[in-house]
Amino acid sequence: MKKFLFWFVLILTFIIFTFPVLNTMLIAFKTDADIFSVPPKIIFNPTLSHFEEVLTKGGYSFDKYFINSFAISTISTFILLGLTFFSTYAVARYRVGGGNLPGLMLSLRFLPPILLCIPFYMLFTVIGLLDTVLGIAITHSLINLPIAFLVMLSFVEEIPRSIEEAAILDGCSTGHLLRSIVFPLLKPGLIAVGFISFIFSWNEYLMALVLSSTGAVPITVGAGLFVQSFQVQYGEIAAVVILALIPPLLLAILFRKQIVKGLTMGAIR
Amino acid sequence: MRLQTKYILALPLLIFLISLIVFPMAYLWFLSFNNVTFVDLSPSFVGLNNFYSALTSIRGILGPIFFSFKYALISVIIQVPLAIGFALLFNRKFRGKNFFIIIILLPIFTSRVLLGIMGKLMFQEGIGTAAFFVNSVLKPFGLSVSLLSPEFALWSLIILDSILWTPFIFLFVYVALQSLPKEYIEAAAIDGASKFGTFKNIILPYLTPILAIMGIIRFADAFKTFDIIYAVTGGGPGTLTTTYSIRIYENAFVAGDYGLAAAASLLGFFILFVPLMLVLKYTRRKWRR
Repeated sequence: MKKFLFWFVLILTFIIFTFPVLNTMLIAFKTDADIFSVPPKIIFNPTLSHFEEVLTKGGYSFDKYFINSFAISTISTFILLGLTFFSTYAVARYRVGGGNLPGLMLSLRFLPPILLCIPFYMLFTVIGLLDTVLGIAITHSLINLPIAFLVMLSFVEEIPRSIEEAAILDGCSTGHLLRSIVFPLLKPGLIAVGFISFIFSWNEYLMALVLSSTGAVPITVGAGLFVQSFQVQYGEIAAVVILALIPPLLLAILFRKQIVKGLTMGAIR
Repeated sequence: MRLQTKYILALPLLIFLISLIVFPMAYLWFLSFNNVTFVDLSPSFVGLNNFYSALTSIRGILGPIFFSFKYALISVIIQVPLAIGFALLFNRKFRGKNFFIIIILLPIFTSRVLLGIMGKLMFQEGIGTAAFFVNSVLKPFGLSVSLLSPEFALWSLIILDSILWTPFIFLFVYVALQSLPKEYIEAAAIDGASKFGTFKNIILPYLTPILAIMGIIRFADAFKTFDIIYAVTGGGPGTLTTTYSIRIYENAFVAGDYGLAAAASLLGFFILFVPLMLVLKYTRRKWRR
């Protein structure tokens, strides 16, 4: 009886937490007639027509939005890896900032993005970064900086000091030390920070909404645009959502060990 | 090791923070004291006028701040206990455990605006499965409801928010629970403690620091909410579910009144986020391990 109750609660939890995605997936594969049928059909003849429609629709450039998202997330990830690799090493080994930087990063996490949207919008207009992939990528780096910094710092702190000390005694320069000793040892950290940054940048909406108009629109904003422009084409809306979900979820599943370790190590200090 | 090397390593971060935090924040302050609109971009000094309108006009910030506060409070009250429940549920060995954990954690990596659109597909009358189920249950009682009506919109949003964020809290509570030494529980069992007694006297005190920190972080994140609500209700019906972030977005990028939006965002920041940061700082110091 107890065992039965346990599995009942577990399956119920499972259904509730996967329900939005499952429901959307069903809609994406249904014909228009099946979507509107009452009661909702669970067994139906699946169709790929909505996906085809989304990819070829006139006036809607799914492929462009998708590529933009990929470019924004990749650039933002590399900016963050570069920034955090050097700065966390300086903080962990030389106590740059006198131990205040982790706390500062945590406060930054509290800063609401909407606060920065207004000055970014106006300043980016002036310097020509508005509606560019680079501009949005930079703001995503800023938004994800706190988590990336704290995760990377935890990984740097795990590297035993003795290896570096031995290298320094042998007359190893700082550049050489970072390149051939710290970098290889920090690979798990770089992987964790890299994928966390990529996924969170892919999923970001508000900054991208404010800072893009036509050229640099990523897929999250693109999905919103689709809902606004083609209000009742639910099959196509569901198809857009499913396609946009695939990259982050795939990465999260493939690299779950590193990502979960990174998140739990870094986010709480 | 030369003295300067460490500063060279930290220099890119410093430049990044100054150009993307210090300078824009200074500019935000400047905007808040000036009249700058989409129509007239040249700033003219208006003193505290923007702050006054942000507090009193119909496009003001107090209503949305109150709604955001309510939304954040309900979120924390529902999601933290739910996350503890899941952590206890998963704190045992069973078949397929890893599979279930991965699936439960996936919402953390799901875009909030996409989840909002998915929510709309659930709640909308005509096609929404959730709307259909709720109405089938209520039909024998002669009732029929719309999940996005003024009475239910908040609760529909909370349910969606909980699906998205409970897994995030669960992850940290679960990891903390795994690090609780098994001997504590065994010793309590030998002493004849009941399950509930063990939970109340051993597990809960052990989890308190992480629960406090997660509660504060979740409250701040929920207060900032934009994506989900914007996608599901757009702040409506009327302005019923307009949050702090949505109101500022509308003031700046729909109405084009940048000065007012700047003042409103700063007010919200000082009313809510500065106190929260201080609470978090105190909490972390108190429970620093």
